[in-house]
Amino acid sequence: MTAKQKFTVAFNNAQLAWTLVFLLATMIPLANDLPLWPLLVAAVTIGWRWWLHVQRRRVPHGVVRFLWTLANAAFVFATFRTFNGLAPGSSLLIIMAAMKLTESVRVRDLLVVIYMSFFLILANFLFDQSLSVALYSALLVWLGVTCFSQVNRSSVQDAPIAALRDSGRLLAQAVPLTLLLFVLFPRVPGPFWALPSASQGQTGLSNSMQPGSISQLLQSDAVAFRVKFEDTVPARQELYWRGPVLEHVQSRHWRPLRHSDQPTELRVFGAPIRYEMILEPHQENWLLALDMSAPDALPDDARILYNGALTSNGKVFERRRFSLNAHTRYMLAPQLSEIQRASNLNAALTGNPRARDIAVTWRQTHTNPADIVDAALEYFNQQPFVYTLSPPLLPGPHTVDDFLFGTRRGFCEHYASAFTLLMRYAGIPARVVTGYMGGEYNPISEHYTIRQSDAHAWSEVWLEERGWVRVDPTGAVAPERVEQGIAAALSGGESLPMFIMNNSSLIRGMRQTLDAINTNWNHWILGYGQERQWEFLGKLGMHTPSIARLVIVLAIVATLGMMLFALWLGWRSRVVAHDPAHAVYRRFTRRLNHLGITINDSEAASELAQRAAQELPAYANAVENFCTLYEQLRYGPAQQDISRLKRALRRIPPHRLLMRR
Amino acid sequence: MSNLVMQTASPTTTISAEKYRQQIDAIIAALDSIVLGKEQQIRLALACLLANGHLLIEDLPGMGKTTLAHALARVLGLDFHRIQFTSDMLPADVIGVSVFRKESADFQFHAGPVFAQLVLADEVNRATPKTQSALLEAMEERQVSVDGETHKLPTPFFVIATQNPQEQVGTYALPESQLDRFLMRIFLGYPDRQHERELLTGADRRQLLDALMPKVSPAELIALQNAVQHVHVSDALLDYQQNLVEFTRSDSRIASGLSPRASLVLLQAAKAWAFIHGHPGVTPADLQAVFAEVVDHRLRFRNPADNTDDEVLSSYIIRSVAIP
Repeated sequence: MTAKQKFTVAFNNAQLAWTLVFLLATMIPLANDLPLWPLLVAAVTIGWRWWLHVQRRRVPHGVVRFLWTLANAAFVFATFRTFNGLAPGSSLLIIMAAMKLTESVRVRDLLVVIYMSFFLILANFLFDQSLSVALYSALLVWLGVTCFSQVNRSSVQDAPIAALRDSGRLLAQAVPLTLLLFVLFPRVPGPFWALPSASQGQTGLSNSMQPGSISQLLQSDAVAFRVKFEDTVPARQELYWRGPVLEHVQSRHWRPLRHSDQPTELRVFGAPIRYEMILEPHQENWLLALDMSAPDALPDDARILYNGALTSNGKVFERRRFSLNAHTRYMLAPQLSEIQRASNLNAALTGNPRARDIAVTWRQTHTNPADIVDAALEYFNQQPFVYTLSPPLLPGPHTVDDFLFGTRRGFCEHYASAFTLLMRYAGIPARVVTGYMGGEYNPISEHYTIRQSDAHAWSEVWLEERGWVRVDPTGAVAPERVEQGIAAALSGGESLPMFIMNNSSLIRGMRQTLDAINTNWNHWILGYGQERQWEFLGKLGMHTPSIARLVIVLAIVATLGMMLFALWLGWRSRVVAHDPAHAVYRRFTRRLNHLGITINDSEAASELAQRAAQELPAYANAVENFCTLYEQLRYGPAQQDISRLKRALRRIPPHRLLMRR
Repeated sequence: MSNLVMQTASPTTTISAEKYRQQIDAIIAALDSIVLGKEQQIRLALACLLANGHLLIEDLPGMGKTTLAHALARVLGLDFHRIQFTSDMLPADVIGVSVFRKESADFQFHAGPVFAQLVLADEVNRATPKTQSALLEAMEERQVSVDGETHKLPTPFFVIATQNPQEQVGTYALPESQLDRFLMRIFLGYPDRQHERELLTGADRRQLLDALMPKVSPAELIALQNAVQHVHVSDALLDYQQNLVEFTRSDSRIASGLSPRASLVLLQAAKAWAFIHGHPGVTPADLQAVFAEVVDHRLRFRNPADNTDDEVLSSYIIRSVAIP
């Protein structure tokens, strides 16, 4: 059977089964990221193709297949309104792989399906690069290589276990080279391509605050960022991670100021708290930072805005890692410009009459603004406010009035916005700061993990000679929220996502282990870009890496490795000639090899002699004579002089150029 | 290799070696004149008998199996019985039966057709397993036990069994354990065009057979068999033989390896082959020459589909094992 024929024959049960199982397995993780129907169509097609095969029925007619494929492609287009993008592309790929099955009758068709399945493994990675997906993909590659080898076998396939074992051995042999390539292959700085669509729908702080925007976040256990303190760890009450600062309010929406970035004075005191921040991508410009970042130790592309928020030049599309210094004692904006003062006193002219009244009362009773702040906090503390994640709706026009004097149920965003407005009514410049509060310490990786559920909003008021001062009204209502976290702040019976509720040490330990593994995975595997690569190579002694040098080193190491491996293989399979006659015989076969005769270790001397005599008629006699002598010497009973054999060898030229014609 | 001088480790002299040479040449020439164009198979069959083993010939009817067996018997001067096996045959039809005699009031054993120096068991796979095993036991033990009495079979004793291809209707395949009793299994195959023409134009085979004279006496035949035992076997060759056998036991594609007995008879066959060809010692080429016939009916691939026309098991083994 020629190689060409091998692929044009019809496949057997095992070949089809391997291919179908592989395709099915590659589709499974995509169920997370794609609409269900392309997967269902593919799954049904897979089952149907198997049924056709075992029932020995023919595949449908070409016209039917064409129309059915067209319909499916149109359906993909109708769903996404485009073929361009990750989800539409992957859906189309799945559909096409399934459609290819409907016309598969030969081995080579199956090979096409297998290639497409390998593409689907890659597509999984575009959606999600977490450790679990990587592990599953490794299994998929194993399955795929097995499938490939089995489908390529022309006759009968191995038992599944044996097949998996063989391909597993193959893959294991590829591991050293894979590791080498991973470590040394030159990386380009920055991402190869942006994957905007894959990140859509990811949760994170937004650029504005409106009722409900934070409570959505509180339901998510996605990691927002991780932090590792180098030496000093601030108290938990100090762990305010500053995000966007919202100064403009309109009806119930808070937004940052659109205009201007007036320079503001920032003074920091005391020893800095050094920490490393690993920020998950959130598709926005701002970077989160512990209050208050020292302006002298910022990442290259970052700066501190006038309002104290840290911002980056580009949006954060991929995981970022940077070091920061923070000072818990600071003075932000000792002098407030008129524009800023105006902006931060700006409140809607109408509405919320009762809140205005109470603010005016405070202003009349207290001369010192700091006392007004205390009065407001006392008010929140004394009145029966309840911290809850499921507050009643506030549909009326006077939302702050309704909240302060009516429902009195809410969480950080309600308190922060109500407090800020009260301060503005009382004539104190105030604004809302959003960000995260607290974090969970992981003793295994020694990181603090801050999740979306740690999202928080608080207030800042500007006081003479103190600058902007952080005031957290939520702390006045539910001090536990600040001191212990969300779960402690909620009264019993309130439903919370499982991940927050489960506080048993076992589950917490498992979560922490998983988080530590993920941190390392992110750091060492996904985050292994040019920067880390060069840092790592620097530790190995390569101090000025460049892409060109990397390529050279890679080539040298890979070549040396391969050569050593080849030498080892040769050494392992070496033939040790114990017998002097055999040693001469090996010289003889080497000479014949130089004369163009292929040497086969399993061929007997007399057979070789016959073959060589035919191909080298000029030396037929010499070759036959040598082999006869050799067999006598090596296998015969009599002890004979080895020198005769050596003399016989001399009649064979050692090289082609010395041959008689 | 014909320029080699016969040298054996036994006290035989060059003179006796020369005599063996002439006898062997005469035997082969006589057989070649009867069975045309089957030089290889004739030498294998002769080697099998000289190694004191039984021969299984597997082929379609009419390929000259019987003629070859008959010719061997004539040339070697052996008395010859042919047993045509059928499905209704009983063991007694092969080995004989004890008959009660009125006159002396005792049982007398009537020897069956198996009592001959060369027995041709024709179409042995047409008989029921019971009858087959009666013959195969006699082959192994070289004696027959009937009613508690043991009867020795003549020496030398050879069985040449012929077998139809298994796919044919009405056959009982010989089980693997029984196949093991045959030293070699050979196939005859169709003659080529030239030899078939000679067959068509030449004299009747039966007449030629009748005219054939023995080339050796039974005593000389036994001497030849003894001489085969004394062919030199070097350590280098034993290394190779053991490598081959070990490969059959360790390779994952082979169902189960060669037994020590099979290993022993393989060496016997190789010795006989070396003897026939006048080699002073057994060479790897001798071992390879008989390997397929000795091994292929004892081993099988784990996966039956591996056994293609391109690659029978024996050639796979030989290809896979380097000569040390």
